[in-house]
Amino acid sequence: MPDSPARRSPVQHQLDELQPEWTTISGMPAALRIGPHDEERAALAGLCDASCLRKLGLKGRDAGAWLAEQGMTVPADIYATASLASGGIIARLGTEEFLLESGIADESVPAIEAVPIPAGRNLFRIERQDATFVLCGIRADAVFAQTCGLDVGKMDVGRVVFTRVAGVSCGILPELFEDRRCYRMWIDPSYAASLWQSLAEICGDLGGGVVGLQCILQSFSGTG
Amino acid sequence: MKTLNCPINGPRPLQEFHFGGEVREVPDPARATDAQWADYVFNRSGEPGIKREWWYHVASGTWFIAERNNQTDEILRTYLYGAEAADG
Repeated sequence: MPDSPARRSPVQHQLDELQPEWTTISGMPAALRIGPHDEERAALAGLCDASCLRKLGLKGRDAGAWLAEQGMTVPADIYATASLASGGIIARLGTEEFLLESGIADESVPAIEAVPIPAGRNLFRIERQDATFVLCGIRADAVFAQTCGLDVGKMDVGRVVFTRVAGVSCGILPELFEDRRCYRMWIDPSYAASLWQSLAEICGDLGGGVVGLQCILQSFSGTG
Repeated sequence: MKTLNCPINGPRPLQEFHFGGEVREVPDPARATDAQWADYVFNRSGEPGIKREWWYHVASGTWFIAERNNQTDEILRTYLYGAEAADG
């Protein structure tokens, strides 16, 4: 693990206890592998920290038009998502609000951050430091059945749902990874450690557990 | 499980919401008498009936209005502020 990373995951100290194999992604230490059983755990109920993915919020009346001018496919409906180049995603969180998240090797967010916002446009950048978790495996729905009031297994793939999981507010994005559902979750970083602990324990009870980013790397690199 | 229909997010468990109090008009501070202002600040109507109330969907940060019968706890409809015609 680097001595002085530019960014840290809100659950890094919990990952540290598992002594994972570390790598650095977008300036943040990321647990690449937890142990030899990552794949088996991920197939059942795997919990992965992907907080290293860069995020950016954009708000304002002109946000949608400006993003389209930058060559992005802008989702038309609230809570719809679209793919960015190289595995990132863009989600419309409101009529005038968007969230962008990079993929592993995707420079979309830094590239957008570098573009100056023209004067006179109603457009504001919002710093987003959400934690990103990914819940995968055939028992992922069972994890939500214990922690969430919604039937997460019936949510549409590619549409964000804001709800509470284990008492913590979060956004959930159902996705397909190797033809199986997995769930990307965005959480306020101040609650991330608590939610991580709850989910990790439940995943463990279901035969899974914490897994490294390598298990799901493909889905964030635009090739999955 | 009790549910409440958020105008943006749809039916959700009540645990996802916070109650924000009855919808009340703020008197003009420059024109209101002391009695009117004190009534606004300190007094609430607890009589049973259909109330317009503020509710907040915590997970998405959505404030909206619910018309609720506080005697039967029946939610009649919900809508965003300024969209009274919307069905809930």
